[in-house]
Amino acid sequence: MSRTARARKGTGALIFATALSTLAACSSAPPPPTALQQGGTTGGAPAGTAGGAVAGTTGAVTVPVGPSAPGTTTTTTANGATVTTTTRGGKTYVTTTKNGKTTTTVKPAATGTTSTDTNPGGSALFHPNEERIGLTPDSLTMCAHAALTYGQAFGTKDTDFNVFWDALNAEKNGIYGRKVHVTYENDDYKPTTAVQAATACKAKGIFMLLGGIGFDQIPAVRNWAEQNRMLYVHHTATIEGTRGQHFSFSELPTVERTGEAFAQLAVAKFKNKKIGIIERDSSNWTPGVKAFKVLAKKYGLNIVADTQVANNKGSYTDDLLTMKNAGAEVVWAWMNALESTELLKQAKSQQYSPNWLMFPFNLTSQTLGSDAMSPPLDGVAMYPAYSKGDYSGNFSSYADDMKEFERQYAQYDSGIDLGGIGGDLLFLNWVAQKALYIQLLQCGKDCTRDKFIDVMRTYKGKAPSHSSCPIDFSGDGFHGSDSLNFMETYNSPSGKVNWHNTQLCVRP
Amino acid sequence: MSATATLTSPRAARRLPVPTLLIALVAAAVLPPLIGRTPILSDPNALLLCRACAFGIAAISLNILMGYAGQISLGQFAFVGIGSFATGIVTGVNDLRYPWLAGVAFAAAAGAALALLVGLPALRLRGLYLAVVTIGVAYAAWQWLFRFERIGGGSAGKVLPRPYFGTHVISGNADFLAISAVALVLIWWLDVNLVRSRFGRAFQAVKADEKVAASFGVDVARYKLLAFMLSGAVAGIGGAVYGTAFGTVTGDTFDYSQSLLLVVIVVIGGLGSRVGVVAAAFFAILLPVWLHLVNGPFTSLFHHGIDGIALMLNALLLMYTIARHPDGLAGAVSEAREKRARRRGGEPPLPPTRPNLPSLGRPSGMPEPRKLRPGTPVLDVRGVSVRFGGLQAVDNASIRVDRGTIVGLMGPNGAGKTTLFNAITGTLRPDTGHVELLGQDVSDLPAHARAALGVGRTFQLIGLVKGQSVYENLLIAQHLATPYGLASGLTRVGASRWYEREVRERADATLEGLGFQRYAGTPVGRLSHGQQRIVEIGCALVTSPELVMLDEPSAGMSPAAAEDLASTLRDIRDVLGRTVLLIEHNVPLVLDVTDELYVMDAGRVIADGEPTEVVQRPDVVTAYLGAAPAREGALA
Amino acid sequence: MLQVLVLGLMNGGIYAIFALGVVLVYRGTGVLTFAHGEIGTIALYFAYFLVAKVGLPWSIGALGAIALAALLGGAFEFLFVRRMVNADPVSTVVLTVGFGLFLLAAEFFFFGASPRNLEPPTKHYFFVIDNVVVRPWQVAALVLALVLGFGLQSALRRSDFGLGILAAAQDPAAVRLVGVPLSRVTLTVWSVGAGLSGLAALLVEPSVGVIAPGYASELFVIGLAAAVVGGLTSLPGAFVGGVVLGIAQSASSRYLGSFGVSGLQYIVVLTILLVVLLGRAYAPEVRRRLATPHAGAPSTTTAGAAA
Repeated sequence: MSRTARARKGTGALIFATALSTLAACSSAPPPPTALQQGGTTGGAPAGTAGGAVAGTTGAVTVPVGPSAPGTTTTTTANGATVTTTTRGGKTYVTTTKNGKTTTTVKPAATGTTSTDTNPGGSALFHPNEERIGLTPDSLTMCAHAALTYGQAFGTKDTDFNVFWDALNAEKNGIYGRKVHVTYENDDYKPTTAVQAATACKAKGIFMLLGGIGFDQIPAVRNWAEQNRMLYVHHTATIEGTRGQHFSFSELPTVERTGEAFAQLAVAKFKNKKIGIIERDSSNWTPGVKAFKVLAKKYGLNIVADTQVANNKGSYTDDLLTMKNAGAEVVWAWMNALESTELLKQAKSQQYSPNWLMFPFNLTSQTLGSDAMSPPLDGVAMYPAYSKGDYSGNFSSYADDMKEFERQYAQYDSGIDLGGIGGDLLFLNWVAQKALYIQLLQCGKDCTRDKFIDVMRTYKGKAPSHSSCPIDFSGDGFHGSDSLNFMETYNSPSGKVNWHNTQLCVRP
Repeated sequence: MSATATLTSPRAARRLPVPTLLIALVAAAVLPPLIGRTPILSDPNALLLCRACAFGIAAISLNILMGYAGQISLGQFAFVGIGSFATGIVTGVNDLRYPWLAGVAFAAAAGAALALLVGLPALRLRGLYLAVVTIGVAYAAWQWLFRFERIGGGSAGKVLPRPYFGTHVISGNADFLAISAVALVLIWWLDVNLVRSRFGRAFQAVKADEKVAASFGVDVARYKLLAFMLSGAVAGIGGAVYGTAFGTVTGDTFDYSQSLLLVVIVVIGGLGSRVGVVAAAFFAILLPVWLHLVNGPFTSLFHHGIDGIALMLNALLLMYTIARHPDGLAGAVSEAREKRARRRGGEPPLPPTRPNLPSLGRPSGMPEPRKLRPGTPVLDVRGVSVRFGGLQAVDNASIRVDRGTIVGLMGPNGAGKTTLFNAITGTLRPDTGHVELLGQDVSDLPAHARAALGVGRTFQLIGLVKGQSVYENLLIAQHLATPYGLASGLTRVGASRWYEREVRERADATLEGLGFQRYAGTPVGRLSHGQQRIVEIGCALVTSPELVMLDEPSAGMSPAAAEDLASTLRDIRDVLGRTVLLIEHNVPLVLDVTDELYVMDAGRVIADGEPTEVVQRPDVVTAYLGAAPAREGALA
Repeated sequence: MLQVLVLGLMNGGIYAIFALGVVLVYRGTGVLTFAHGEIGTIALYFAYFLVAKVGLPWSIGALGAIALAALLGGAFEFLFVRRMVNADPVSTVVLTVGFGLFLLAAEFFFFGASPRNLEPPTKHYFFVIDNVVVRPWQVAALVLALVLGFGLQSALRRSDFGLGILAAAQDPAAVRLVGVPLSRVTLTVWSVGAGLSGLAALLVEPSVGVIAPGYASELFVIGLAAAVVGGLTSLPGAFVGGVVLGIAQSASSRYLGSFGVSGLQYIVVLTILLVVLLGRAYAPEVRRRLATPHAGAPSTTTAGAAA
């Protein structure tokens, strides 16, 4: 005994790991391939992959990815393709992913819907007992995760974001007699904190979860929503990484579409100039640059430099020099408003003044002041511009909304200066809330989560309000817009440098 | 039945009861916030507790490294992070899709691998330099390694699906909390076993003094690396739990400040105290929630205040703890308890100074000693020279020690006696010369390998682990007698049970022989110098080495005790049949016990032969007179 | 090439000032500080408060910030470090980590997570080297680092008190024998070291434009590495270390940028740190091996013993 033991003496921690993996092998055998048959019998998959699924009985393993929606199966075939089959709204969506390429085919549903379907002919995502969570005869509860800590940079606090609902509850007695309660959980602009915030939101028993601005937080919460069966309506995020997801919806353009729109603006204004890109080094931002480059190639734009910068990098001197050295006359700052403000300040300090393309926020233009007018900055946004007291030009098409917005803030939240750096942020929030209100109204008195999804999907090119662009869910059923607004900085009547629209609701 | 009793009884006698104060502290931190947010295991609460469990595991991992092995790491979240991402890669929907437990295993392996890389420079860098390097690692992992799309999933992060067992998928946070708690308990259990195994004891020895550890046969470099790898593996498992609880992790989840927070936790809890560090982890994670509850109005005053206050309090507590109780809260608790015990019982009486050395056979775990051909000396040193910069510390020294004799080594201070000792035991490598032990040339062997051949030694400044009990030291000293593997040690299955029983029996016998039973649980540092010396000799003898090398054993002893020492030394030779090499200044003692005497001066061996004759030689007298005239009387 | 050098020197000057503070504190008290990054940050917040909120001129705000930094450093020494005389150096490191976390928490508490904006002292003066615009404060940082790095040591040698500072960590008894109260020496080095951090934070802020919690700590960590690269006890070494790391960093982001991951500079810094430290640890052994065929004494670098 002692002699054999010595042979194993001190073989290091690998034993430890090996012991654990042995443990793993014992305690969790691969799940039985029951779902394989389902995958094989859906019959809707393209011949190649379906054949693989049927023929490869030994190679196919179905991996449950958290609880799925009713009527949904996800199968991995032996040849590496993922087949997701979803029955919804009387149709069967078969999404096949292979080698990074996703194809979706739509077929009429197989005969007979599931017995649990309480929304015949419509969306069937939720179980009956989940449909009315957050709804009582006199209240509707929702919750949003948002970067409250960064709100301070815009001079806003979370109570400023509920003026629309306060006005609605006071003046119209809510929606069908239900007072609307929306609370906020701080996601601190970080994905992990956003998941924590979403968990805290869910515990409040909410009808749906709303996702505030943040390319990085939303993908994390989307995954969470799948695992937790939560209706999630969020701000802009990539379409990449959404395959097989059913619980997340956005009425705003995707990151990819936004990048493409920046390219459209560049083609329209700077076709023959040298273009540089300073982009956030992140898989949540890069798809936008890819889309930009595709269009840029098509129209022969001249991209001379492209640097990737980390989140909150701090000093951009090196990147600015790269732009300068390459002779870039136009620079696209593909980063958030706070970072691009910082970037512009450092560029001014380096005596570098190209034409800038960026997300338009009054925070940037007002902080930079006259520097934001030499030359004027160009922007692309998924929301309309706001400049307090200016209802002319492109503002005129939604001046009624602006005036209503100003009235409500004067009445219910007199503390905030809408002409300051946070005014446009509050307006875009108000516009989104108004659209949500109109859709909830359309959902009716007996609104359920599935019915609400159906309401969103009825939008095929119409706008909920004057200040919104048309919404259109006829694509994949989860992403509802491809329209963006082009903007430019100008000297507003109030004397501040603000953004105004140059072109509204630009489509591909 | 009786075996179990032997295994645990001496420790049970010494171990403090569960530190109730710590438990009360955790309860105070945990309960109000959880009760405040009903139901108690609601999703947010469960998520919070999952996080606390993960931090508890991470705290245990850092405790292995800092508390047991004495290696500072300010970058532990690099290992936690790599564990999370490894789990994501192995189990992820868009990655390998293996079962969750495979992910955990891979997380442990990845944590261990990264920790091994960090541990390699730690073989040569200590203390502050290691601190700087590990914080550099924390930065590099956060800003570079985790930014790789393939590892960290970009700033979108890595998605970790919930585990499933068979077809049952763990969905709710409360369910996952159960798994997190099981993981914590499992790691706790492994850690308990680690401390009670040769590995934990070797870590303690390495932490206390690397030279002492090597003299017990501990391969210092190997055990340092092992400590890093074990710590990294446990941290990786903590990362797997952390990541799975949240579902999505990004590089920024594991920024350097998390590593610093973990150091804060471990120091507050008390380095080396498992209960302490885990309690502190729960305290640190739940404190913000607690403050949210009690601070309603205050929160609105300072919008971002709560997390700030929590962190400020944590940091203040840390500073207070370090300045007042360097051993952390666990140390403060046991200190208070001891004070109370002392008030009640007074100081324990002194043990007898005249020990009876137990006659122990060779431990079964050690190889049979080489058969010496008649006439071959136990130790043969030929022409050894050691140079320190400009100083020739040992100059062409040769010594021969025959079996069953006591050989003395004398000389004025700075003559090079201890340096020669170190050259013999391998603590340092001589520039020239050869050392032959039991007929084998060991010149190229490291210290721990020479110890394994059968050399026990003591040190001028007591070579014991001062913070550990007498009993524990006797176990540490038997490192070579417990040749079982890590898996057996951590699970207490197989070989380790058998060997541990044997070394505990030997330790008990030695304690009894020395008359130290009462002090089995007393930390060595609390004993008087003379008592420590006796324990040290006991440790040097407990593995029955062929050659025992004692460095000034009578230093600091009372004259009466020194007299007792003489008979002890004779017992070692006559009763136990061992060979002794002895450095000693006490001339009567030397003349009394030695069979042969070497005298060194300025690095050279200037005389050797029959002791009474050697001390009469004029050159020897001159060496002593020249160096220290006051000692003339001692020489006569 | 010239651009890399200019950018490297501009960053290197900042790192060097942080490194000088670290070395000063280490020589004066034998403590390796991890707190000075946050001391610099909170000082910068104080300058922001004085300039942007109270409306004082930049120069007064800057002086106030440096004074606050010095005060914080001194107070920390007086209240905590002083009690740690016989403690393990690693415990003292953890103590400074705790102080850093405390200040970080204070930043969150008083100013929140959102970035703040402190206008630079002037927008007008600058000159251009190879397309790089260099501002006065960047030159000031480099010159200051150079002067302190090479001048401070000889200046300190001229007075008993200065000698006390240089010798305090190695031989506290000798300092007392000379008649210099040790407590004054330790208080002074902590105050001055902290003041230097405040200064470094102030000089780098205009080039970045915003302040956020933990803002200076990333710069400080590289400064810490610079101090270690420079030998931890040498003031000129701190300057050289700072400049070397500054240039290495700008060169890596210029020439290795195409490797795709943006945090590569930290790997470069870590590599230099490891090469220098391990090189120093192995140097005696290598020398021995070259000198004699049969050798190889284990030598270990221990900061405490190095002093």
